[in-house]
Amino acid sequence: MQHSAAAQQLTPEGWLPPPPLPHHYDDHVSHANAVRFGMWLFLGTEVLLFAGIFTGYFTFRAYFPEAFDQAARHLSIVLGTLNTFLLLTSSLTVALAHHNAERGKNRNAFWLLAVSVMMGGGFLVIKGFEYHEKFVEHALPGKFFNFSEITAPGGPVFYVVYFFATGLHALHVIVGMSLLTWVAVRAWRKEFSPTYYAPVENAGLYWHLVDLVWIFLYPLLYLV
Amino acid sequence: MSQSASPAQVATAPAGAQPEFPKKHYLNDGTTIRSWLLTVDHKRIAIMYLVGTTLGLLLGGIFAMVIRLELLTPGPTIIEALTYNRMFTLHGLVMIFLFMIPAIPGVFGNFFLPIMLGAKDVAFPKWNLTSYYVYLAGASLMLWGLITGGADTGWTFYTPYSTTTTTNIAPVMLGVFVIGFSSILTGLNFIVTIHTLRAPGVTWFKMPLFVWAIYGTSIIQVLATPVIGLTTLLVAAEHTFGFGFFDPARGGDPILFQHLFWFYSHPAVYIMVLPAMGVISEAICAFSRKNIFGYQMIAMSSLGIAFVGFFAWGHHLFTSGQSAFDAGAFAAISMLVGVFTAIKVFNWVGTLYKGAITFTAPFAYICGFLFFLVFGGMTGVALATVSLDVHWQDTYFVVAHFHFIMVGAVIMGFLTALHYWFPKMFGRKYPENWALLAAGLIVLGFNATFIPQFLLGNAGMPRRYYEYPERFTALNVASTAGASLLAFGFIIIAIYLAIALFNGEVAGRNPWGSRGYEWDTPSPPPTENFDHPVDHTRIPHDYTDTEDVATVSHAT
Amino acid sequence: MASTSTSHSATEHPKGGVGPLILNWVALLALTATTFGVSRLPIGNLHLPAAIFIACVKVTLVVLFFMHLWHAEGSNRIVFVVSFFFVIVLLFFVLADIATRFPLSNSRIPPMPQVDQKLVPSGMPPGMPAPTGSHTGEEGHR
Repeated sequence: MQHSAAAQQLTPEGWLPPPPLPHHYDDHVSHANAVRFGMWLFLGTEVLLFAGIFTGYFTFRAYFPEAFDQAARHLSIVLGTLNTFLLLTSSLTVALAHHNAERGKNRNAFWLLAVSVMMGGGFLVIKGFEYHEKFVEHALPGKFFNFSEITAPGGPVFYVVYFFATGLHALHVIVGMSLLTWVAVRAWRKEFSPTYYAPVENAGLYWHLVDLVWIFLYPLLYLV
Repeated sequence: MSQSASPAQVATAPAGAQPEFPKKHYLNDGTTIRSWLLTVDHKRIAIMYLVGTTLGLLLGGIFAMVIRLELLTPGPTIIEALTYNRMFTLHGLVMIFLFMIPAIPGVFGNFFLPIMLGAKDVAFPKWNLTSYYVYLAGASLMLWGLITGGADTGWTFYTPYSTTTTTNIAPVMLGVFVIGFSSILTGLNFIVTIHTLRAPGVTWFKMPLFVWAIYGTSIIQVLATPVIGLTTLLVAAEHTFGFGFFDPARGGDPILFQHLFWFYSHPAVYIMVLPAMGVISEAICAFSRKNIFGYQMIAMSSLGIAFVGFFAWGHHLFTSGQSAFDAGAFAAISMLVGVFTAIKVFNWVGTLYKGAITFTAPFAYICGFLFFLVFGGMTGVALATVSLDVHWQDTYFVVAHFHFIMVGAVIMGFLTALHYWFPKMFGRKYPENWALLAAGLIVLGFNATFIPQFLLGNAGMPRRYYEYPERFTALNVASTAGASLLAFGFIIIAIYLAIALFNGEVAGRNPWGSRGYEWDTPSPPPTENFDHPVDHTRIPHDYTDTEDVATVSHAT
Repeated sequence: MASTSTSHSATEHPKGGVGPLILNWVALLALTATTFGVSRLPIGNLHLPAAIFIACVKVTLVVLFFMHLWHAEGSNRIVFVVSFFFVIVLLFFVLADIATRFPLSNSRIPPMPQVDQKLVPSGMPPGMPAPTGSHTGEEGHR
């Protein structure tokens, strides 16, 4: 779907004409619907991917409730809540970017997407602090565990779940930020219009999924 | 190879008309390497999958022969114990991930799904090509890991052995992870294609049954594969970093691994068998010249298998320490899945009843398929009985059961598809006599290989064992002899198909006289799939208005 | 479920505007505050179900309004609902396994409390050694 922006002229409304339709689709609307449906299916796979680690969380919480309780108290609720705020707000800005893109307001969309990416970056920075703290305390998974504050059995297992869940999530944050950045660049080039805004929508859907996973991770890891 | 006047020729074109090979078609539309490597034509991608999966079948078959040769004698025969463990691991991983899962969807699904729907391509052609390269990448990584001393854990890589073994598990796990993406991409593509690219007139209940089967398969691929992806990551991480998620010594739970693993791997067997069932639904109509009996039931049962198959995974954990409550629930659900398969079997037999049958090679494979599916399926229901499984678990009884389905049903389905659609894909006919001979060898060889294994398992011989007591020798020798017959049959097929590619008689548009939608296009089809607007107002496989058809017609 | 028709066309996407989106965000923040507050209350075993419930409400809001599933075609909705359904299936059977594993196979363990069975098994399951290596010395019945 790529086309050289330099070779195209802006339409009177101020955006580039939509890219050529693939030959096996009848019109832009059905193509956009198909792409959106494909994205939802992909989100379904992501939901199932995280399902496995949530299964692990509930399993080991059932085995080691005291350890999970103690370990949760040693996570910083302030940082966790701040991260939640960042992701929720970036979800808003992404949704607003989509709103602007489908009206062809490319510059607005660009700035909103840029803010979203920065919030994602902020999330990662905070996560980095938390991880660093864990490394210093030796609150680490498996055979690297050496954290005296957790006296109940099951401490190492909590940290396996913690690092795997948040690590996998952070990976998805990075992927989401990359997608949003790419889409932001295209918004800067004024590629989006009421006929063609699917990339913004779909990158946004991915980012919302990242947010969804965190909405579950936050209370399970930090609060209870 | 010499062609005899096959029965198929009689039922078709007007006497004396010599079919012409189309001048321009998907195979010669662009002959550079680049036009193949960067193609977005679903038919070319299908051919590339054919090459890849056939190599997978060959490799997996070689490992199988090594296993069977080793088991000729009770003690060491040709290899040592660790190598033997690697062999059955290789056999399982290669067969399942490089052949069984991608083969029918990747080859025949890719080739025929758009044509059967009246579309010009799948929904996302570039992702389709990507799925093939991801398959190759994952396969390479996995094979490299296996060859450089990896994996002696069996293809099920149970913990804690797989996380503590000294063999090089991590690349194998990552290879499986990568191949999983190929599976997801294919399934996703097919689902979107079916939802959005049906031609006008092709409503949901006018789609060919092969499409329904692929739809069910794709749903499973999309929903189940991520879980195995996560599980392989967890195993690789634990093996490399000693995390202890699945290791009891560190507080982990090995049963959790088995739950996560089989949550994918049980639906995975339906990924393998559903497309084969779809093929049978197509070919059985063509070779009995009769409308399918109970179209809606077969269509719905494909979805039924896809969904209910997700709730049955615990029958692999009956003897592993799972709770009795779960065991009971899973046993009941596993038997329920058999109902959907039984519905299909009754409908297929109903289609054959009073049909005008032409006994061709694909039809021979259909017969094999039905026989093996029924027996394999019934032994499956028997295994689902928890108390019986206590005796049979991890014995050759289980091995025979799943080979009856995987080889007996799925590979027969693959061979049916290969022969039924060979003329359409390549524009030439294969030699029928050689094909019938090979089919006979395969069915015979299959019986000789796996029926002794039921007896062995029931007598108590465990699976994955390098040595066995003397009293099992005779049955093992019989099984190996059968495997050799089977291998011989496959070699014959490979030879005559390869020759027929270049020297086969020109097939023409519809050598079987089949009423499936895909036979309306030329053989081989042009790149755009159709050379004229196709009439989709009729249902697929409607034989009620031709002269030489059975007089019985059923409600569809 | 068929969507070859474009009756709900993408170009007529919800013109609800910015307001509902901001409202949604405010609601989400409020729910976050709520879940934080609830976690401070002394409700014992109810913490987990409460947290999950609130999280589900938040997820529903994000999915319906930020991801536009409220206005979306049926096929998209089905995908999401089905995915979630299978997650619940996976969780249910695994947790049911853990919850019912030991009392049924060892009568010496006291029966589980009626409330929150899957969350509070009676003590550490016997036979599971502590990661520090010290064996509890109880019977390993497997």
